[in-house]
Amino acid sequence: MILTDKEEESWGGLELLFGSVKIHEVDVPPPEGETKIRNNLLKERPEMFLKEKSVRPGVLVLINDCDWELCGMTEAVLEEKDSVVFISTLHGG
Amino acid sequence: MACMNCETDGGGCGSGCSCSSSLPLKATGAASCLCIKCKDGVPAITVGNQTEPMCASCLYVSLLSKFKTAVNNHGLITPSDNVLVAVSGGPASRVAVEMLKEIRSKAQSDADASKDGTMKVFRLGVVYVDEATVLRLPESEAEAAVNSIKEMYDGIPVHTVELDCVYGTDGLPSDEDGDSASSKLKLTKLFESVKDMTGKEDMLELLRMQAIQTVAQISGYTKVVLALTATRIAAKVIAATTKGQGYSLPAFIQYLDGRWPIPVVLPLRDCVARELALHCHIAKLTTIFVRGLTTMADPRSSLNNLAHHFITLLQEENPSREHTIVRTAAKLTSFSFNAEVVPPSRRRRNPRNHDKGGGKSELSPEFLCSICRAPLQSSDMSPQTETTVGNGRDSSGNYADMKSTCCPSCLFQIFPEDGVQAEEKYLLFPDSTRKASTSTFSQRQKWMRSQIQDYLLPEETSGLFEYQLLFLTTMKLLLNLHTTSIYPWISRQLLNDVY
Repeated sequence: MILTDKEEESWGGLELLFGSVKIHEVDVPPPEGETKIRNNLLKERPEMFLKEKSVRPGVLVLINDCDWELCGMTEAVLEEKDSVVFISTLHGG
Repeated sequence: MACMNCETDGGGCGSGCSCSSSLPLKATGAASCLCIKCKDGVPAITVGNQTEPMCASCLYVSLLSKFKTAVNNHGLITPSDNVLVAVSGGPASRVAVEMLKEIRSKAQSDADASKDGTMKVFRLGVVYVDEATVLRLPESEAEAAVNSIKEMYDGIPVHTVELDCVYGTDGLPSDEDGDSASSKLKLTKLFESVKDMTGKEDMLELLRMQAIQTVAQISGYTKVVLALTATRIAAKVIAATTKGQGYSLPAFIQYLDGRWPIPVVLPLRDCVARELALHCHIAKLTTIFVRGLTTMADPRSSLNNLAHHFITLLQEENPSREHTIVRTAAKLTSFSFNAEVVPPSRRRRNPRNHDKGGGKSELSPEFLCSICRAPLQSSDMSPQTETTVGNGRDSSGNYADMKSTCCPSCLFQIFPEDGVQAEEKYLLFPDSTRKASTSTFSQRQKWMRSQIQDYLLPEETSGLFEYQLLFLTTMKLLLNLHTTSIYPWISRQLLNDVY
């Protein structure tokens, strides 16, 4: 099992779902990633962030400032010190 | 399998590329997809323009070129303009201001370098409307938002106004509308009286625009820039369709909206929200998020919210959906107030942008809904009611005038009441809205009268002469209507008899 240190940021209003804290440093053993977010970090309305096994449409995910569409989306393998950023595009400019 | 767009060393390419390799990629290390625009093999960081992997700088170049094309080809901003950008703290308006700053500094250096020194450069300012009264935000949150806005836009004039400024005619509370505390109270009561959440959201948007127009007029701005992206416009198209606003829909989605005292332009109409948000993050442009009426609420809480979620869902499957919706809606004929004034150098390239003198208003002037300023179809304008025809009617108008000059959507969502309740609600609207409704009502009466002037009986007639006149007038009317009818022989008979 590889322990990864991930930094998670959320922008665009998503921080409201995480108790208004924008940056979280997280230790995430791989299989538990999703549950950890759901149980520990998401303070309210999980359905606004998660949809089944993936994030809700309208949430942009960047892994090391690279769009996760180019990295395999949910299949991407994360490593230590990776930075994951979630940006909500539902409320625009 | 070789991929045209990217070079791989055995790894996969993800969904942005057209090759069909499906091995998972490592997130760290160089992304195996390369930017298709850069010639020197720079790794791509996102999928822009719907399907092209791009690096961060090419993404910005693509957004900026769309912005500049919109501004130049449609004559949205001229060097003599004083431009006011409406900002909300979000990424779209943030990027719009940055791009305008960049365009302006280039124009300034061109002006400085020019020999005769007469080249003008447009001026820039921003406005932020504080809606804390309606959104019921704690004062600290509202204040923090205003301070953040001032910091973000340091260096250019920043105007911050509270939403209840719409209750004053010159930015200050007028005598008729009372002092500041009572205007906040009026605003709160007005919103409480609208039970429908979609109606509340729409009214908030309209009052916000009125506040922006107030600031623009007082401070001498000549154009208002609204950072509406293709995403938001596509959502508006869907929402407007569900609200039955099909007739007025084209008015809201063009590059130029001339219904307001200070024209409103939409230069970000060809950019999608996702790319702007991404650029903001990469370029480290600070943004703030202020809660709206339906933040954290179920998507079904309002039609606007639902439409937005729907668009987002569509976009996930196919990134070009937003553009397709906007392009399709743009095929509807726009109104005379959407006509652009295009510089002669651009006119030949884009014949569609010519100043449309006719459009839908060849035969009648455009009458606008008192509340949302949507163009009214003649069938939407309800006939005069008993209460308005009477001796007791004063020059300031009443709720029935307003209701007869509202579009069906506003009547349903915002002003469904009648009788005493309607009278009370009428008084809660800003003075400017009430005056506009009275003016629209009387203009419409005048125009209708002018159309039937020829067929009205003169006032002093009596007895047999009156009957003869009535007969002749009726015949004249019928002849005018039936000269090319399927009963030409009747017409000929009448012609012989009358003349």
